[in-house]
Amino acid sequence: MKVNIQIRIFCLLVLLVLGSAHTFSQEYKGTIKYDRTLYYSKVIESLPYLSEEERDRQKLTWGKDEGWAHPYELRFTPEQTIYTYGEQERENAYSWRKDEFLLVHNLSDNKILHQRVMGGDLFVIEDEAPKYKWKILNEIREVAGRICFKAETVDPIKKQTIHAWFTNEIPVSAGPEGYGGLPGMILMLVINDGTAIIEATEIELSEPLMELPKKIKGKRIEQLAYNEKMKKYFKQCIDGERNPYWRIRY
Amino acid sequence: MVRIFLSILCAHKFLIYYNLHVMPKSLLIIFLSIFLLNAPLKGQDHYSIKGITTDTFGEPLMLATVMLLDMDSTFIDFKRTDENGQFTFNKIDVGDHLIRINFLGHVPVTKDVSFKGEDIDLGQIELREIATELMEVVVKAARASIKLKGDTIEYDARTFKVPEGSSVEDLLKRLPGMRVEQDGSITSDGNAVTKVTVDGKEFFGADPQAATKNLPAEGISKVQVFDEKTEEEEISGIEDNSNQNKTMNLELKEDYKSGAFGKITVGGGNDSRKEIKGNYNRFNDKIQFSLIGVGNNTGRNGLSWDDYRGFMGSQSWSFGDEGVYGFGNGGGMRFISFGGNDDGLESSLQSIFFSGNQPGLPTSANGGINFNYDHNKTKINSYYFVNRKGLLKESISDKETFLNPFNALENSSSISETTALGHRAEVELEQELDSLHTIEIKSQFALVDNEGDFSGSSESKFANENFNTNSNIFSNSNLTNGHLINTRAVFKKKFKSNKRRRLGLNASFKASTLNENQMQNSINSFFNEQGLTARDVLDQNYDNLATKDEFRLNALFVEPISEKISIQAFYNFSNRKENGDREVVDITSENQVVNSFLTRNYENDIGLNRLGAALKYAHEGFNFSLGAGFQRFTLFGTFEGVEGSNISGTTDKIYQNWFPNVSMFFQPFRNSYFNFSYRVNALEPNIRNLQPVIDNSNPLYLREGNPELTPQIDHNFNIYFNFSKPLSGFRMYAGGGHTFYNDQIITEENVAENLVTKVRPVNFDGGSTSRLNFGVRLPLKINKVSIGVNMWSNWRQSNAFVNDELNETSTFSYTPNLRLDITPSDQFTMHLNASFRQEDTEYNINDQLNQNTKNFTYGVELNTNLLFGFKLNSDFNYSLYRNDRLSLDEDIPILNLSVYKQFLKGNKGELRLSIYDLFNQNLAINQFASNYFITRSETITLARYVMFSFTYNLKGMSSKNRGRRRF
Repeated sequence: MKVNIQIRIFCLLVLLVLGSAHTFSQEYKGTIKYDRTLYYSKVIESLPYLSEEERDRQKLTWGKDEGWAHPYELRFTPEQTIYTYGEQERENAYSWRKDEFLLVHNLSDNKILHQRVMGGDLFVIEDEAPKYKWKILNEIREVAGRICFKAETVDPIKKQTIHAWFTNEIPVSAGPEGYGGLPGMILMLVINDGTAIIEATEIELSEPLMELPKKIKGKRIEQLAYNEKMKKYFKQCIDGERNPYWRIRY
Repeated sequence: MVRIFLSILCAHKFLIYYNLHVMPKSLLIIFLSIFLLNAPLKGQDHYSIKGITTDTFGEPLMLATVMLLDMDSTFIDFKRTDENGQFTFNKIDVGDHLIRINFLGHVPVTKDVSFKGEDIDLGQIELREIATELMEVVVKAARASIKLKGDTIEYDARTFKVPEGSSVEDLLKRLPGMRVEQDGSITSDGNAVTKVTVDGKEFFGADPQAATKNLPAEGISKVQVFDEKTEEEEISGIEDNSNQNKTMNLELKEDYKSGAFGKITVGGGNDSRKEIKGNYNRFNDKIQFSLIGVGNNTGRNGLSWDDYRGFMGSQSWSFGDEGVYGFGNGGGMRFISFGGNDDGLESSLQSIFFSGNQPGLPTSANGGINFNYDHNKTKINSYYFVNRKGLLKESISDKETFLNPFNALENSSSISETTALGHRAEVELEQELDSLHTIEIKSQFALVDNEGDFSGSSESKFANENFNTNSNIFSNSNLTNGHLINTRAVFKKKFKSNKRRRLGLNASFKASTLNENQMQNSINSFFNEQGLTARDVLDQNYDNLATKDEFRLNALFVEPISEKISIQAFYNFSNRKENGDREVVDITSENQVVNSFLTRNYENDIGLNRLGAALKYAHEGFNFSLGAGFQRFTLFGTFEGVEGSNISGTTDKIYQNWFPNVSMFFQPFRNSYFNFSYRVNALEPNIRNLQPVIDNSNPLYLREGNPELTPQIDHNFNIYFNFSKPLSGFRMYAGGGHTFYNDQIITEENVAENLVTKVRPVNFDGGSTSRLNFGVRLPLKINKVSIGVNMWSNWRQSNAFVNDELNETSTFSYTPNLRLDITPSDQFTMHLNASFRQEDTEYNINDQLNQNTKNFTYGVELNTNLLFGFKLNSDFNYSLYRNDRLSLDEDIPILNLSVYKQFLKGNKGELRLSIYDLFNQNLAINQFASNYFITRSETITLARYVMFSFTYNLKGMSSKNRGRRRF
């Protein structure tokens, strides 16, 4: 009878972790700090409506500028990840209002809640997590003290090439900016050949703060409808020869 | 589905063990399902793959990541090996796959799995350890990525720092596993490198050392080493392990930040109109080089903002910062200011690029060369620019001066021909000493050489009389030359204790000399009813030598009090010494005599000490600054005439005042911002205005200084709000401002019986200006039709003394403006614009004088494709000028047309035929109402001409009919 109970408990556990990637990920919870750096000169350079001369002139003027870096944080447990702004060091400059940004991913039911500003309006996307088709490449490097492997995918909406560096050392299928689904935590993302780089700077494996704000403001929308809106605004900007990335997060 | 499958699989392993003893019903279902899932695969559409991972000693590798991939490396699923190093993928779709195994510290292994109708057992898969050296040095120390392609190991050479000018050989010596022997031969992991290729190609006949000794390390991005395959191996595909030789491939950097662009335009037209313009820019990661040259006689500046950006490169936005610290955010702020006068000696380079079209018939020639260097912690920026401007100007003007009891009328005509030649050069060095300290040293040089001939005549009379009171005929010429040197050093410090604690110090020294030579020749006649009463003949030579030395010292300190609050303190010191030597010689038919009344020497010493501080709050889009300062001007000046003239004097003034400063910037809601500021500025009097010297360069209009003058204090209030809805394309702004003056410097005029006017500056309280602007822009159809409405309005309260009587004038003007942009496609765009300006002026001394001026402008710009690849640009402007008092009623239509065709590959060539001012109308009209006179003038400007031009653009031209792009 003792054995029977053991089996029952085991089966219960099996059913509980149904859907989670692997059984030992339970041990892994923590906070990863990232720096997200955007190289604006490269963003401008990629605008399709510029003539070759304009492209070169802007590269001449801004090409040497350093990127804009902002700290972000990914808090994760085997059940959930929360990705949002990290604490920014104060500078002697104007303080600007930050666009709301919060990305919650429930790994257990693969649902996301994504609060973000697009085209100046605030949205909350509540839907299934988007699926990415990853290619695994033969390259390794170290990020934040962990050995990472390289994978590649394409963002179908913004037509961006994404390179992710994931580590087997943190076996949670998640990552920053809503990317995940690889056999380990993504510690670095390189978007469009370095136009934006999201790189882990610090990993802390301890109980993370998983509390969410009581009210998450914004217009509720499904992923598909949001994508359509964004595509439309993107096209509108490109047709009107305006840089869409002033108002769409790169 | 994949995940569920995995979990059931785990349960299954235990079930096999237990199902003999007990079989709970609940598990039976699971068991059955597993049984079904694991049913034999013969002829099925699924199969399984299993294998065992071990290290090179045959020990199993536990927790290795095994990934199941498509043949194009697309990720499908993964497993981790168990304690025996085993892994199994079940229920794989039929087809070929790849198995990739990663394990920490080991070279990843990829296995091809081709489906042959049954389950596959890969057996034992051995993972080789990555050389510790490679791991430690490349991955950990250099933080480079290593790429593994079968037998090739590749890593990024850029992360290994070698001194500048090093060869590839020096670089190789630092790479792990690499050895360079005395004789230059190379081994990799003990194996000889017998072949070196560059970008996969053989370099100078396969001698490995030819490349490694000669190529600079800086040009290399990647080093790859792989086993050399013999021809036999390459054909057979079978590797022969007896061959241990290696091939090294050096991949050259693709220089991302490099580029080159440029274009040249030449054109010629009727009436000997010509233009030539060329610019060339070349840049890479470290160096920017540009050339520009423009010459024309078409009255167009020919230089644009794009040309400025191209010329200055990465320095385009660093102008205007003279390092005079104040209440602004400590450092790092970019603001725009354009330089002053001094016959162009102190004017900035930007003022040459951005000067508008002048009325008259100008010719211009500009040329410049710019060189910027930016690498590691050193930046060098330098340029040389020469410009020559010629202007032939012919104008007539009418002026009505309000006197009590009768007004005076003047009409005049003048012709001037001027040329201005300027040379400018600048060198700047910026050196980062370490992460906390930076120094900048900047030197500017300028040289001017101007000449001008002015001639003309004027007649004045009282409105109630029918004879001229005076008349004047003049012919003057002017030669000016001078030079300037300005050097500035800046030191910036951040503190280790707190990165927000900042110190900035700068010192500058500016020295200039200006030599002016004038010849004045005029005949002034005075009349009464009976006729000529007097005639003055003036024939004088002026020689004026002025030197200026200015020393400045500025300091700024920022102390953070808390996360949100900081204190900023600044100190400005400046001392300016001015020396002048002015000799006036009267020329008569017999001799030349020094004019003892107008000849003099002067020496001025002007000092400023300013100290200020502000408390600043900044948090979550809300910024507030509250500050105050104290300043003290000291003005000391002496002048004396020639010996025995008894002309001498001293000015010795000290002015001091407190000044507050309040500013606020915040974002009340998303996509909006609001700011408010109150500032007080003090404008110290120009020392020329302080000296009781009469300037008689126009004998009918004499200027005199006033030693009693005190600084003008301006109180400025500004408010601005901006809001947009980007998704719908809606934008609006509203702003306003109010300035009132204490001790405003205004003019005092005394008009004598013979209408000779004497002007003197005096202080007066009471003037003010206000403005209110707003604008809305919204698309009627996004990207196709949009409408914009703007309204600017101004009130001005100004004062002047005329013949000891105070003239108070209030002026109200408003300018509504409507704009319609129609841009249906790249082939056709049209922009319509209508604007109206009305100005009402009221005079306290006589409301009969009240007047209003109206100015209507209608514009149409049309760009379209024509047949056979030809295109059209046209722009039509219709201006109407109305003023009842001056009976001004002038309509000026200006139409410019050009037809062009682009050709050559990538639209590199363009031929263009342009007609400017098709209706041959061009006339520049200016009307102005001040507090004691109104005036209007007309200047002849370049009218109709035809120009045929050719442009060659290295990078090709845009084929769209669009205006400026935003990015």
